[in-house]
Amino acid sequence: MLHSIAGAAGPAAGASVYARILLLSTGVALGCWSIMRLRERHLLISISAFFIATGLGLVLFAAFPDPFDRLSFLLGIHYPPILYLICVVLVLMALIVHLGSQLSRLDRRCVRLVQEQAMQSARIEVLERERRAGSAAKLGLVEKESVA
Amino acid sequence: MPADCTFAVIPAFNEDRCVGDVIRRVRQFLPSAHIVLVDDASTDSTAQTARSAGASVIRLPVNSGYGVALQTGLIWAYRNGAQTVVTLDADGQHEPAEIPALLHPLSAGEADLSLGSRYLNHGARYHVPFLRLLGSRLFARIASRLIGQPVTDPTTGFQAMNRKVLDLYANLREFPEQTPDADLIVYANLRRCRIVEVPVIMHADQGEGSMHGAIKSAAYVPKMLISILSVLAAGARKQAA
Repeated sequence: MLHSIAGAAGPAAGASVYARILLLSTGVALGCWSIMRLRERHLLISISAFFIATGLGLVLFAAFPDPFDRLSFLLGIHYPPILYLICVVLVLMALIVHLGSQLSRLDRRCVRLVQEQAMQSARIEVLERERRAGSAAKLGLVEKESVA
Repeated sequence: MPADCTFAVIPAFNEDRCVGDVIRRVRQFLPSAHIVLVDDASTDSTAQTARSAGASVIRLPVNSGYGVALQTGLIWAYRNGAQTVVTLDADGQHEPAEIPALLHPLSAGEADLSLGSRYLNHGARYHVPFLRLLGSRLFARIASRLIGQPVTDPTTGFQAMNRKVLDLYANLREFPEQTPDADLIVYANLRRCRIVEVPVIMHADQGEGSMHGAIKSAAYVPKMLISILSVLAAGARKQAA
């Protein structure tokens, strides 16, 4: 039956029915997974938005593969999979650049936190020492007064 | 906080063998200074040894690199009103007896940043590995060209600075995390700080094995080039502001 559907779609459809089913299920799974993770607050909104958009893109591509092929021919690319590859590479590069900048920002924040935490601990240590020295001095004064 | 506003900042990582002696010798030449050891999450007893030798200890919760440890000490000194800061290594490479010579240009008002150079006048008195020497020479040339005055030892961690330079370094967001060397000299010059080099005696450091050292030296060159570009951009942005 799948073969007959594939035949009905014809060669213009570009992707085989198996590939379309795979893309459709991957897209749905990615979207569902992102929403679940977002609900549990295990994924940032911006990252889950990216995954949901990717999932939606996969679903749309599985449902309507023709426009993409036409776009490919319009751009002068006569073998559509090359356009898919270019798109994937561009999206991955954008993702790497975005994650790289996020990582650098996070690293800078972590360094700041580490520095502040270390200095606060040192400050507490100094205050504790001063307090201990202060109470020892006070105790000495009390002892002197009682002797007097 | 101490009446004397001179701070000695010593970043350290697993240096419990040498750090006690270093602190005691620094105290000998800076009797009323506040000595701060920044322990970069050592796994040995560096912090305890430093405390018992009479230093204040700031302990970083995770190993963060030489630059982060150094800047933490500088921020601490800055917030506690330091007027002069001396930075030196905890491994005993830097000779505390040279501290007065290093501080002299600052107290005479001749400079804002004083760099202890092992190559000035007589050259290093110990064997410097070839790759390290090559890197040092390369960045000495680059730094000299960029700041318009000769710099012979841009990788020196033995420095003295006044409040002006301390303010710059403590508040520098782009402070290099691993390699605060020629890049910071270039930055200080860009922010109109006067820099001098002072000849000092340095001892051989207890470095890593040659293979590890070679890889580190090779990685140092691109890192430092990028870091210099980054501080140049930061300096230009601040000048424009």
